[in-house]
Amino acid sequence: MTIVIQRLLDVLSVGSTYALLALGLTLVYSVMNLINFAYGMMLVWSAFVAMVLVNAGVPTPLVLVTCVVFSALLSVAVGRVAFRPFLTAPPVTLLITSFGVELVLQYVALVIFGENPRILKVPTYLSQVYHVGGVRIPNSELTTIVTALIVVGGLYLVLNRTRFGIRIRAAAEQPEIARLMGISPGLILIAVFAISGAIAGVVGLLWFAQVGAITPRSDLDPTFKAFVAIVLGGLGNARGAVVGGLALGAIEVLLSAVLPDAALGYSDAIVFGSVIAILLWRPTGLVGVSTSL
Amino acid sequence: MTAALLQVSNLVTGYGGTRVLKGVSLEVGAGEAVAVLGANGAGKTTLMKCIAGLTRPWEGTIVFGDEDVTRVRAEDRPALGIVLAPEGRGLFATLSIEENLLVGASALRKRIGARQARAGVAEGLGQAYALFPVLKERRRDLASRLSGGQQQMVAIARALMARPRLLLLDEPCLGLAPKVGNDVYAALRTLRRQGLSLVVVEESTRRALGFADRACVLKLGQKVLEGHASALTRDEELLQAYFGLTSESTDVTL
Repeated sequence: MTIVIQRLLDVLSVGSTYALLALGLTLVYSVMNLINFAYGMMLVWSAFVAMVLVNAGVPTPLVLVTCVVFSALLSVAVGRVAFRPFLTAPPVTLLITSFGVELVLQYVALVIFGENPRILKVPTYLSQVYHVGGVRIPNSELTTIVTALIVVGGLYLVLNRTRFGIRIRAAAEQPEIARLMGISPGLILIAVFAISGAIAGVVGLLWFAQVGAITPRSDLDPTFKAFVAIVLGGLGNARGAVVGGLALGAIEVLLSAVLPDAALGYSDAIVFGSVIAILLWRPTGLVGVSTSL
Repeated sequence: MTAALLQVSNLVTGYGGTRVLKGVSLEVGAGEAVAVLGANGAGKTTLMKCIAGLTRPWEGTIVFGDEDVTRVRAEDRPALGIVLAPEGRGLFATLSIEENLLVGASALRKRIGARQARAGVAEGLGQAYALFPVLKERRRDLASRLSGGQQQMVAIARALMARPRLLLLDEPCLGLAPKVGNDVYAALRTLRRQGLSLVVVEESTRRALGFADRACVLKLGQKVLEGHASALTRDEELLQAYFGLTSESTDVTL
């Protein structure tokens, strides 16, 4: 029984990280039909900023706030400069643009921080472990799950209970009709990039706190996880992102539990294989495809 | 007709290299209801999209009130008072009815000012539900779950949330049973009595001519006929013969 609870906790922790990652990516997709491959660089930059601040002795809450704001602003700048001019361009143009942005952000980071992995020092209380019954509850996992609950809940409220959130959903579903109602696509784009960036700021800290080290090239792994999660859940759909993230977490955790040691080296391939199998069964993802939040 | 509210002059536009409108002019007076008739492909929807700003004119001007709005972006026109209820209703299927209506009020702050807008939204909802009581009962339902007639009600109510001075309706009865279409027009009559200026695009002539003050007929991107609705009604057979327009709502078979 304890092993089941233990695994469930792991699933929730890994899954909620992926869910957060996926939310940030799917938001932009929902209004722009763009898989923003520069997304992972927001995480990397957020983590680098955190590293600098932590090393300078800035208290943790301030680090968190600064990273979220920085990442949101960076994301807005990217949206405004690189994507806003291509609002009506074909998706492929946007995709190429996002690769360009990814490279630019990466090379700037390389110039400033260099190639070598840098350590993100994590507050010691995060490495505490609680024992309840026979279950190990690392504080880092608990923090991840609670953070995810707060962010997902907050985003849900924004999208469903505020006028502006309703407009974002409307613009995501039918941009042209939304314009007829007086909703500016440019404004929606900026808002969506801001929210996506803020989420990336948070999840960047969670991600690199778990990974331990940051390099300017560590961005593609989280981007791909997010991409897989939103495809698995259903493209462009906030609920799909959460479901897909949790499902991907579950697949990873459970496979690592049942696979023999010899197969662990191939676990990424096996995870992808399972995802493909699920998509064969449900081609539009677990929640279903739609550009609705 | 005194002081035109909308003055469209020599509009030319199209898609790609194809000209769809070839110099169309249209005038709508304050409080007037104008029907735009014509067969499929005549350019009626394109004309509406031009007035609403979704399609850029290649030539010609659109003057609203005393402002030249030819180059004003679509998203800025509701704030001026031009609102289009588009062809096919264009509801946000994943939003509830009330959310659809709230989205319709997006431009209200710019339209009547931030202070009035707050009360204006509540007032707008009240008016929408008074005009279409069934929407109040179902305001929490997803728009996609409504019948065609109810969806059209939402589309009209949503457009009204922006407090339009000019309401453009593109085929409001498309796909509706004749009786439901009559209900839609009953609501439009109410709006007209309240002084709203309207432009209605229709493929079927009888209902539109019974409703409008004036009507014009488009054919292949040109205005071929214009006049008082009552006069055109007398010429209905002529309309049919020349322009392939139907007096019965073609909607029934659609």
